[in-house]
This record gives sequence, C-alpha cells and structure tokens, in this order.
Amino acid sequence: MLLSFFITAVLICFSIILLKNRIITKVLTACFAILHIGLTVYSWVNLNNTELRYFTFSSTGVLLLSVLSIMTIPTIYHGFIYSSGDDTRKFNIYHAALIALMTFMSGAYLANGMTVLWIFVEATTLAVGLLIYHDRTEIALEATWKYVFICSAGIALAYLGILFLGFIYGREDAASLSFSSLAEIINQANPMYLKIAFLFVLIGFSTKMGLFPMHTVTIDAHSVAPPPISALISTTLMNVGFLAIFRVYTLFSSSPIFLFMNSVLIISGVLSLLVAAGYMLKAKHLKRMLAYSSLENMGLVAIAIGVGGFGYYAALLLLVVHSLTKSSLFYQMGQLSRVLHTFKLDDCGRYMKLYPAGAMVLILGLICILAIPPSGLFITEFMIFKGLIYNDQWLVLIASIILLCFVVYAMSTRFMHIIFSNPRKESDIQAPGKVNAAESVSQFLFLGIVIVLCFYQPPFLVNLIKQSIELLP
Amino acid sequence: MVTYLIVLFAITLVYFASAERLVNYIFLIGAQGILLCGIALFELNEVNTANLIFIMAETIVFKALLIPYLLTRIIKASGVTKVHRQALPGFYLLLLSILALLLSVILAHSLVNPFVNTIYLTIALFTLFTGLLMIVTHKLIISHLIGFLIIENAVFIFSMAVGNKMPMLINVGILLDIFVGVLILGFFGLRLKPHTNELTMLKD
Amino acid sequence: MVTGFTLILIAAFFFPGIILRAKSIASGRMGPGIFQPVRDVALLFKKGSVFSTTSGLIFQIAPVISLSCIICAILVIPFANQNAIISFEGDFVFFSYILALGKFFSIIAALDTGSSFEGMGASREAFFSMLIEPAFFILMATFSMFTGFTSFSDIFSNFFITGNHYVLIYSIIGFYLFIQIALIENSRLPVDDPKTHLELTMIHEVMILDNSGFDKALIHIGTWLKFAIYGSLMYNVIVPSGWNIFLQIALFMIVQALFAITVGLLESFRARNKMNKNPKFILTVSAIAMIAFVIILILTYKII
Repeated sequence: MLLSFFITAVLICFSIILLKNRIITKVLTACFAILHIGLTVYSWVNLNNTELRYFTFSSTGVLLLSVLSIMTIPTIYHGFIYSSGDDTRKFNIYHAALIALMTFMSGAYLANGMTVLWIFVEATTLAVGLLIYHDRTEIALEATWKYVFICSAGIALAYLGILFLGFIYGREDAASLSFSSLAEIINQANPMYLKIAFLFVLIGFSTKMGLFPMHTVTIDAHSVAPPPISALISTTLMNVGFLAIFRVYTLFSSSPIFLFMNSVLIISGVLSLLVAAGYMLKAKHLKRMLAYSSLENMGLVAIAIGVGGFGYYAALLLLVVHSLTKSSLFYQMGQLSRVLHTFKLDDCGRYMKLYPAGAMVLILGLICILAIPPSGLFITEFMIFKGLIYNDQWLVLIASIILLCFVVYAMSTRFMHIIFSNPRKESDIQAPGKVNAAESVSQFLFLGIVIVLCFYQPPFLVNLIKQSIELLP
Repeated sequence: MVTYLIVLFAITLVYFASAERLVNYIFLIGAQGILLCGIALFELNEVNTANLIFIMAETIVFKALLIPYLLTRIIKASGVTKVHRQALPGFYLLLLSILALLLSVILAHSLVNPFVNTIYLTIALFTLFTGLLMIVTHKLIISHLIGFLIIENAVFIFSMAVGNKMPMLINVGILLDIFVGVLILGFFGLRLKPHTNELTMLKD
Repeated sequence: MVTGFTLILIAAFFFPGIILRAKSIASGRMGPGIFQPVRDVALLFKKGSVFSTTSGLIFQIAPVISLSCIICAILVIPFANQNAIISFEGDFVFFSYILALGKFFSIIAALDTGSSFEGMGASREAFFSMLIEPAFFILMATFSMFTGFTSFSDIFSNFFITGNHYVLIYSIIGFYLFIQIALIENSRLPVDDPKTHLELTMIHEVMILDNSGFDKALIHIGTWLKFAIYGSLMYNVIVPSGWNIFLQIALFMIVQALFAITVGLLESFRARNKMNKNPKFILTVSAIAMIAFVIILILTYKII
C-alpha cells in the first residue's frame, strides 16, 4: 500500500505538471486527498507493521499522519479558492508542490530510521520553497531564499548529529540507523557523544520545528506564504520537526544524558516563549503574529517534553489541538485577505460588519489558541503546569505564566481591534470584498473538534498517545 | 599521504579567513573538492570499488568542477568581485579562525572514540567552525553560500571518519551536495542578485 | 664551534651585495659590484655622527646595543654537528629575546628623536614584531616536541635522526616559516619596502632616518647579520647535520647565496602590501605555524 501510495503521488505530480489543464489538476488533487485518507485508514488498521523495510506505522507517526489527513481536504479546498485567479502554470506548480509536500511529510512521519527521516525532511524544504515563492514578489523572494538557505544549513547540522549517532554505532553494518537497532547500544556509548548528537539534532531540526535556536526562518515563511500553505506548514511541518527531535529524545531517554536533554529542552522552550512574547507585542502584520503564536506553542511543547510525566501526554495532545486551531485561523486569514485586501493591522477593521461568519471564527479561534477554557489547549497547558509543579520547577512555571500573559494580551487586543473597531488608518484603497459564509464551515468544524477535545478525549486517541509515550520513563 | 592532504586542507581553511576576492574563494572551494577526493581515495580502502568510484566521481565533478563553474558564472553575471565584510575586518576574522582551530582541537581531544580517527574529528570541527564564521561575519549572500559549502565539506569529512564501516552515510551526505546545486540554480532561476546584502525587508 | 660563527659573519658580508645584484639584473641593468655595500659601510665608518639637539643619550647608545645583541644571538646558533659557542636548555627563548632587546632599543631610540615619522615607524615595527613572535615560538615548540630537546644545538643535531617519518613535513613547514619570519623581521617586501623614499610608507627605514656616520654603519651591519642568522637557521632545518663538514660549508654558502638571490627576485617582482593588510598577512604566517603545531601534536599522539 505504501509503495503504491508513493508511486501514485509521483504520477499525480508529473501529470499535473505535464498536462497543463486546470480541471484535470483539480480532479487529480482531489484524488490525492482521497488517497491520503485511504493511507491513514490503512495505517490505523496495520498499526506497528513495517513496510518497505524503512517505514513503520508507529503510533506517533500514525497520530500525526491522521492530523495531516484531516487537514488535506480543507487545505486543498481553500487552495482552489486562493489560486483561482492565477494563470494555469502557477496553478499547476502550486498544486504539484502541495502534493509533493504532503507526500514527503507522510514519508517523514512513517520513517523508522534516522537517515530516511532526514532525506524526507530535506525534500520538504524544497517543496516548501517552491510554495512560498508563489506570489513572485520581492518579499516572497527574500523569504524563499532565507528559508531554503537556513533550512539547508540546519539540515546539514542535523546530519552532523546523525553522523555522531553513527559514530556510536561503530562497526556494524547498517544502512539506515534504525531506531530499534540503535536502542540496544545506547547504554554503552560515551555520554559526550550522545550530548553532542542531541544538540546538533535539536539545533538542526529547530529550523523545521520552529524552536528557539533557528526559529527566524519559520516566522518569515509563515508570514509570506499563501494562507492555505501557511496553515499546512505552521502545523504539520512543525510536527515533522517535532517528530525528529522526539525520536532522538526517546532513543536517548534511557541513557545517562536524560537530565541534560530535559534541561536543554526546557531552556529552549522558555527562550522560544520569550522571543514569541516579545515580538508579538510589536507585531503589525496579522500572519506574522500568528507565526509567533506557533513559535509560542512549540515552546510549550518543548517545555512539556522537558517536564516529563504528564508533560509527554500533554505535548502530543497539544500538537494535535494546535494543528487544528492554527490551521483554521490561517484558513480564515485567506478569507480576510479577500475581504480586507491587506494583512497590516493598521489597515484592518470592522471585520464583524463585513464578514460576520469569519469574525465568529476569529473569536472562537482566539479563545482556542489562547488556551481559555473550553479550549482543548487549556487542558494541555494545565497538564504542563501541573507537571512543572510536581517537579518543583517554580522558576520555569512563573516565567511561562508571565510570558503567556503577554501573549494573551497581544493577541486579544489585536484580534478584538480588527473585529470590532474602525481601522487606525483609513486608507480606502479597495472596497471590501464579499465572501460567502459557507466557506468558513471547515474552520467551524475544526474549532468544534478542539472544543470537544477539551471535555472528552476519545479512547482511540488516548490509546494512540499512550502507545507513543510508553518507552519514556 | 592522507596526512599531507589533511594539512593542505587545513591551510585552505586558514586562507579562507584571509582571502579578499571572490575568485579566490571559488578557487579554494575547487581545491578543497580535489583534496577531498584524494582523501577519499586513500582512506576508504575497505569500501567496495563501485561505491568508491561513485564517491570520487561525485567529489570531483560536483565539488571541484560544477559548483566553481556555476559560481563563476554568477559572479560574472552580477559583477561582484570583492568580499565586503560586515563588522569584522579580516584581521579579527583570522584571529577567530585560529581560536576555532584551538577549540576544535580541545573538543576533539575530549571526544576520543575507538571507532573514529581523531585527526578527522579535529579537521571536521575546524571546517564546521570556519563555515559558521563565514556565514555569521559576511554580508553578501554569495558569501553565505560559500560558507554553506564549507559546512558541507565538514559533513563529508565527518562521514568519512566512519565511512569504512558505513558507506551508506557518505552516500546520503552527498545528497546535501545536490541540494546545494539546487540552491545555486535558484540564483539563475529566481534572478537573485548575489550582491544583495539588504535582506531586511522582512522585519518587525 | 667557531666554524658556524665565522660562516655566518662571512655570509653576512655577501648578503646585501647579492640581493642588490639580483634586483639589478632582474631590472635589466648590470648593477653595482657584490662588495659595493661593504665599501659603502667602510666609507661610513670614516665619517662622524651628527646628533640632533632634541635627542638624548638613548639615541647615541642604541645602535651599539643593537649590534651587540645581534652578535650575542649568533652565539647560540649551531652548525653541522657541533655545539654552538653558548648552548643551554631553552636557549631559543634567549635567542628570541636578545634580538627583541636590540629591537627594543632601536624603537626607543626612534622615539627619542622627537620626530613623529620615526614614532609612527616604531609603532608599526613593534606591532608587526608582536604578530610574528608567536610563529617563531610555536615553530620552536614544535621542534622541541618533535626532537625532545630544548636547545638549538640539540634540536638541530637530532632533527633528522629521530626516525619519525613525518620529518619531511616539519622540514618543509620550518623552511617556509623561517623564510617568512626572516622577511618580516628584516623588513623586506612584501611587508616593507627598503627602497621607498616616502616616509609615510616606511616601517623600518624611517626608524633609522636620523642616524648618520658610524651609527648608520653599525645598523647596516646589524641588518646583514640578522639576514645571515635566519639564513643559517633555515639551512639547519633542511640539511641533515650529520654530513661531511666540508660538504656542509660549501652547501651553506650555496644555500645562503640562493636565499639572497630569491629575496632579490621576490623584491623585484612583488609589490608591497597595503598597509592595513599587513597585520592580516603577518597573522596568517602565525596561523600556519599554529596549524602545523596542531597537526604535529596529533601525529605524535600527544593528544590522541
């Protein structure tokens, strides 16, 4: 099934590029969405099987793959609406790159060895670069160059970390450094090597996950990319980065450097929160503000992993809930740009009057992303704080709470302003557009799921998450 | 024999810190490619021949011929010749380079491992630090690209340290090279100006 | 013992003539004879010195101190397999610092004249000497580690017989570094142009602008002797000390002559560095010494 998935995806990409026909592109993209959902169903049925020698349907992978599957249909739908004004060539490139991106991400989720994971992550960088450049403006060019360059540098550093893992592996003959075979020899390795390998992997994959050391590229990329793409890359792509770091963390969790890893992750998380809070207070661009919010949530995920205990469950649940919330906010940004024609905060206003459904989405989304109950994020943040108190890490707790307060203030003032007040600068360049209220249905659906998850977590979700973290102490 | 090649490689790295013209940088990158091919030839004698020929061919064709050719075309098209540094004059860059060498020696000494030859670890760390220094202290994006190429060479040397037993790691590392080829082609495709040093449009 | 000393003295008197002759022939003219500089110095000895009223005692005694320091430095350099006239453990440190003492006196004599040009030249000279000093010490430290001794005589007599097959690397690196150190310490191109007549671009020449007559002669002789010193050190690094003594003497003369010709040719065909690139150039030499040191540390398994 996996092999046929990959082959079909490649064929779809090539036919989209070669056949140059919009209708065929739309049909093929819809087919891809169905294929992807089929893959997810298949993986649920075949949990923990290995296919093609390098891919395993592990529980974490299947969890994140399902999140990606849920997001395929709205992304493609909003993508059709967003790129309906483009000429055929740009349209085809956009959709081909989108399909490639989703294929590579699925491959990365399901990989069972470090090198295969690394190859797929490298491939996603190329696909995302193509997508960010969709607008062909100078700002898009700058963002694309920065993204591809710094992600490549990060990937090279991550490969150095993998090589260090290979050093420990030593004189065995293996091609792909599978996690299961590495797990057997971790205990005899020199701790210094493990520390350096972990640091390199963390710094390298922080370009993808958006954590503190190299978060700047993700901020630029998310604020410049087309809104449906931003929705995809600020959620599922960050999950890929997280997965890479998480696998290495799980691998090393039974070794002497466990405490070192926890402290590094907590420091990185708190610094991400600090940067996010600081910059969000002066953000003037809506999508940039949402990008900083992603940074803040990834910081929380890092703190959650560093805390341990409750934190592991909280981290994975946070990933799922954050993906749903952030993507609905970004989809809404697509419609906002069609109504207000701008993302600059100074020029936005009166959104409730111009597009009430969208404004409702924004309000609900605001409540969800700021972890105000009844949001699913509330439960996760609560568990993280509980874990911090259990571990007596009072300083981290106080710092996180204060920084999160700044974030709450920044986001809520900005959102409330654009929904209810008049714009600060009345520069009527263009008359506001009209958008059908039915386009926001997907976002209400996602936000509804998030709110439900606050009160009731279905047993299949809970089991899957618990399976993912069973190897951790 | 490998030692002489490694010494020459280290000298090219110091030369990077003190060179002024972009043509010199390109020549050094090409020289590093040839030296790496030589090191691969003499070091990897337990790898099967087909794989060895592939690695050597890739090093020569890609690192020593193709990438310098592409970079020369970019420089001719845009007319940039001199390397403008950001905040550090060349003198301090050289000092930092020497400090990086000392730091890498100390680090390699504390990472002694029966599987890895220490001299490779030292040189690879020194190359990594030089590449990072280049990226951090230069303004032009073509200098950033050259810094990235140096980091790639560091990865290559690292992977050769265990390459005898795990040749697959070297092959995968070569994928990075191809990645860089795509980056450079982006210069042509996107009409990016390599003397762009004002990548400051995106800020808060 | 004394052979080395006399050989260096003899070579010193040929040095400037050969350099001058090489530069002239490279420019297409016949040029002065080989002994012309010696005749010029002999002329200077017959003249009296003129001292400016703004200078004091230091200016009058500095050239003598400088020359005597250089002659003391020659005393520790061995030749062939014999010990030097003075030889003790750590004598290369003595060598370096006695030369530095001479240089210090010429620097403060330049400051003593009260001329701002000479002060500028003195500060540049001090800076460049500071930058090249690590190169010399790191090189000698490398040799000490390699041979296990700390005296010039012991190092050079054991240099080629330690049985370590990396001796070729040390030899080549030592040769290259000694040439660079010689060029920089003696203020030749590409660091400083001895023929320049513009004071703003001078480094060493401007320090001796105010000297005349007997003192100037002493300074010239000191410069030639320093050339010969570094030439002799260079010779020791590339020629094994165990060979036949007469062969060695002949080889010594040939190597010094070749060195002088090379310096002359280098001066004819190279331009002087831009002044603000000079520190970087000199630091590069030190950096290469540092690399050689590190590589050799690893090769001899001092750090595994």
